[in-house]
Amino acid sequence: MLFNSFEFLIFFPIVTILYFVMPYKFRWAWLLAASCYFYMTFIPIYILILGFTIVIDYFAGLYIEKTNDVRKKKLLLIISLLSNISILGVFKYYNFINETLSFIVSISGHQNPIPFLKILLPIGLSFHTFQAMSYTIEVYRGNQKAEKHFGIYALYVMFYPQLVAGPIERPQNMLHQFQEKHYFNYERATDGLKLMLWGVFKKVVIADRLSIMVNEVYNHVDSYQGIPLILATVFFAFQIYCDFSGYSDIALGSAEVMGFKLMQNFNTPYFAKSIGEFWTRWHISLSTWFRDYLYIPLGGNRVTKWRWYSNLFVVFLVSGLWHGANWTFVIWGALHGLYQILGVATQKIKDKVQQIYASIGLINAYGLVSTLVTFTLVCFAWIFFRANSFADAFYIVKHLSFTSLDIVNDTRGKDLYLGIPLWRFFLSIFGIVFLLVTEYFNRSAARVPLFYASNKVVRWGSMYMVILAILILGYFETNEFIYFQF
Amino acid sequence: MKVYIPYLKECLYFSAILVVMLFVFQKILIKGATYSDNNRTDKVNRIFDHEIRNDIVVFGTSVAEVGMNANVLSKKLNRSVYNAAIDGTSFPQYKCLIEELSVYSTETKYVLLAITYFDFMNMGQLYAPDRFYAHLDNKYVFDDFKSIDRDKIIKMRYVPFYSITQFSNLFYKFSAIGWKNYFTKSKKVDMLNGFVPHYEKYVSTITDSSKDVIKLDSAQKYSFLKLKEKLEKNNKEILVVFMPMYRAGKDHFTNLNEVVSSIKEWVGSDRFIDYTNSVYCNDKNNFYNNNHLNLVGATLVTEDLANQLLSRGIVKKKD
Repeated sequence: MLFNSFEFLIFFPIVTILYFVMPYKFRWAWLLAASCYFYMTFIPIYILILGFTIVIDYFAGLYIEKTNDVRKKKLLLIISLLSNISILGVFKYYNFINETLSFIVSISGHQNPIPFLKILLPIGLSFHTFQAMSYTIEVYRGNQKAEKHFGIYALYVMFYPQLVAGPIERPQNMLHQFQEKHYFNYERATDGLKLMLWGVFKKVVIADRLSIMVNEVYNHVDSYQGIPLILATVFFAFQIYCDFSGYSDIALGSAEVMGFKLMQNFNTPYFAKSIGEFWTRWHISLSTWFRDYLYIPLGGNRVTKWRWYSNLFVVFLVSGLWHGANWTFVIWGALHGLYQILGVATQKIKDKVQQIYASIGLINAYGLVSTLVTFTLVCFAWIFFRANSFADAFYIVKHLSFTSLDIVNDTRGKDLYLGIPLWRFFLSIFGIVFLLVTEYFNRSAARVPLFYASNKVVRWGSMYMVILAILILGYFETNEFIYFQF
Repeated sequence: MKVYIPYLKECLYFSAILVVMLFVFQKILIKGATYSDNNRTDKVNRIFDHEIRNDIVVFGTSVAEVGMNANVLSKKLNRSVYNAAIDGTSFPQYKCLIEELSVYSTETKYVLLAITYFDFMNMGQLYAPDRFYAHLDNKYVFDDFKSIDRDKIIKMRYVPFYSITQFSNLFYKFSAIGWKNYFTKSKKVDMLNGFVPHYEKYVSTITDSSKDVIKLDSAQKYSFLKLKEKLEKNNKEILVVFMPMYRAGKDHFTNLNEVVSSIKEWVGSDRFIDYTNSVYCNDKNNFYNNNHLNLVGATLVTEDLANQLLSRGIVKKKD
């Protein structure tokens, strides 16, 4: 079930109303049942995979806490982590590894005898696997008590707002919330609904409209060069942002209506002044996951300089692989790793330049330049993230230039701009500008300031306008959220 | 509970204003589209406004729209003729127009279906449905459209304001043009009575030498027979003309003759005229592509049809 579907429009109020009407002791069961239904609307049988990891991790958590033997604790943790990673390995990485193997074997003129698996990737597998892993790690570290209630633990993994595309929650933040009794709170509920409204707007009005142009260019890269490739890449940057942050807003909002507080996943990332800052604002739940469970255990920055660099690089390489079983994602991750290393290595120079700008009263200009440079670097990496293949990505990189402005194609006598009519092209650009202006004025809370205006006419008027925009300008061709595939 | 009353009030006010606003917006949009005369909406609107009351009304797809010269037929038969064919549609989609006409127009004596190979195929989706959306409340439009895209059409009818999400920019254009027509009291005068002539010369649309098989949708046979029965009940005769195709187009299909025979069987040979083996198919000067007649071809074929209708006694010339 997609958040931008008609079915969710029915599902959400029913689940929420019954949640508050239901006696407290049954609420967890109700939410769990609703979450199971939500998940099973995709591929029902895959709930068994979730069930398997839930059982393993639940018992692993209990035994890790119970035993005092450090070696046993470690063994149980390894069993739990391995079972999660094995599922990821089979469903997500098996074919990728096999494909790579086939390529290597083919160089020597042989054929790879290992068969490929014909299976669909369970939706949101990487998200709930990582969330489950964080539970056993935290129990192992002694930061979290093992959850005794099997249903509550299952709900921690399966809570429908964040089940298929995060935020990847931590047990410390979520488990206690399932035990608490939530009363209906009007302010909180309306805050949640406003956030959901903004999320739907970002998804169906901005992201899905941009996707038409991005798909046109990225699915026919050979037909374009120069500015169309640049435009499509910039559009993709906003498409993926609105798609994923739109999903997160709906997830946070729907949880908030019921009284749950999920962690913020985005914080105006395209206003970041460095790649390091970008990663504190983009997909925060994943970047903090990697920080806590990979970067710090590797030694973080409390090691030699070269080791520090290698830690940064490894984390982003793994992050790339987390996103998708494809070498394009690995390159994307590697690029971000390199950006981070360069950022750290050139920090002193950047500080000096900043001082010079400050001394001549141009500190704001420095900020603007830094933001633009960061955005450009991020966009360059997005090429590898979005490209259908390695060859496509390199074609785009090779043909990036400001020389060819040919964004018009003629289809049966109609001028199309990256595959769409001119008015829709400008509408999409207007959507991006509207988003940036809105976010600029409310950079800290990532909420629409007009929705909170003290003047009721402004407050309600802005919400009516956004609802109308969704209905009139929304693209409702049931486009899945990009991050569902991860 | 008292604590919640102000909140409840605020919710109610907010929702009530929203519902009224959307309701008015939707009504204005739909009403405007019913006055539109743009992009064939004039044909749709005139039928649902019960304005079309000609002796003979032609239905079909673009092939009929460009191939049946209403004025020529009218002159030859001395009967009023209107070409209500709409491009891009197929039988399941334009059937609602015939059904509506069959009920209201006592003046119409003949419904002439000028068909081609794809009229009775399963198209699987609605084509440019915005031209019909203003009349979705009509039973026939609803039923026929539902049979093509059930989920969407049911939601459009029964889920409040869902329609707004489905209207394309075309519908907004129709509505704007409609309101402009309404306020300026202008109405398109169609001297050609629905016929849309094409003046272009032949250009082949076949790019490869592969052959295709025409797949008639068996559900359409049942649908057609029911319609025929209904028309007969309302004192109207249905005539079916299989329009000519340029020979290159004909050769593209392996089973065109079988398809023609099947449809002839549904209709009855006395009310069926086949042009797929006529002389017109051999001359590319009659066509602008493999399926569509240009003005020259349309005039020739229509004249010939009128002669055949008279000579075979299917239609009598009006005094």
